[in-house]
Amino acid sequence: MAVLAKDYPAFKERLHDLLDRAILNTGSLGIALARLDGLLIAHRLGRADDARLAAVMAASILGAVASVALQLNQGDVNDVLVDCTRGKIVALRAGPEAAMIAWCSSQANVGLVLLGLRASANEIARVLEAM
Amino acid sequence: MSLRTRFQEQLAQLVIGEDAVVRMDGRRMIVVSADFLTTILSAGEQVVGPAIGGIHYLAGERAGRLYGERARAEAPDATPEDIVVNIVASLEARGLGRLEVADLDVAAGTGMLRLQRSPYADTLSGRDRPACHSLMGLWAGLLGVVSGKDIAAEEVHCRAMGDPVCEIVAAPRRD
Repeated sequence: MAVLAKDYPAFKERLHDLLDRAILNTGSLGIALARLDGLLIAHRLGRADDARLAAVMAASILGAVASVALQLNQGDVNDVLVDCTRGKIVALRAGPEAAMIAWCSSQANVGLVLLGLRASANEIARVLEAM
Repeated sequence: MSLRTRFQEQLAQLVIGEDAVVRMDGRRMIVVSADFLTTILSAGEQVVGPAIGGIHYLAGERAGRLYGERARAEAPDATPEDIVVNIVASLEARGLGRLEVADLDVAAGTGMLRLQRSPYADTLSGRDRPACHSLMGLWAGLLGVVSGKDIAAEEVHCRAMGDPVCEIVAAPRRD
């Protein structure tokens, strides 16, 4: 997967469409998609948010938890849920090459958010794989 | 001017105070081994996996922007191309290995930086992914300053992956 691909505009449009739908379906307040090395692929964030930083954080959260899982012999990491005083953060893999991070209000139904994001991540993984 | 002369000129600018703080052009410097940098990368990789590359990229990008902005402030009449070439020459003379601006179009915000002996690639050989993320970020940050565009850089060849040289290409980010 290369950031500077030839058919980039169509690829980016497709990803933005999937991220928009993920936000609509889960009520997430923002989503960033990153390569596992933390470089930004696509995002749907407000202007005040730093998309590049969010991308690195998505990959770092999953990477750090994967290291813990490896040490404790717990297998692959499916998702990471962080429950904060003012909201919830979810990080999950989108196929073998990407990580996704999303956040939502503290009132959000975590189960529904996780289900919605997992479905979106699977679709995104298929798009990335077809690149 | 030979590389050795340029290196010696740079060394001559180093000033060490009684407090054992080294400065060049008024800015604090430290002289560390290349292992210091590569160990940070490999130790970070053990903790956060490949994401350490993105952290290094961000750090490099900020450094590249800083170098570019500082150079522009110090030489306001210099062309963007001169700023890039001089910074790359300065990095080369500081021991980053032979660097070549293989392609540069400031107006378009594109460019290719070729590295013959990246310290990261030298140390971290036999990888399945590039190793020079901080230099990728540096190239993106520097081109970002001189072009005024939001630039993304990608290492398309890396000696750490068995390629003969490292090549980093940069182009405007297309959001």
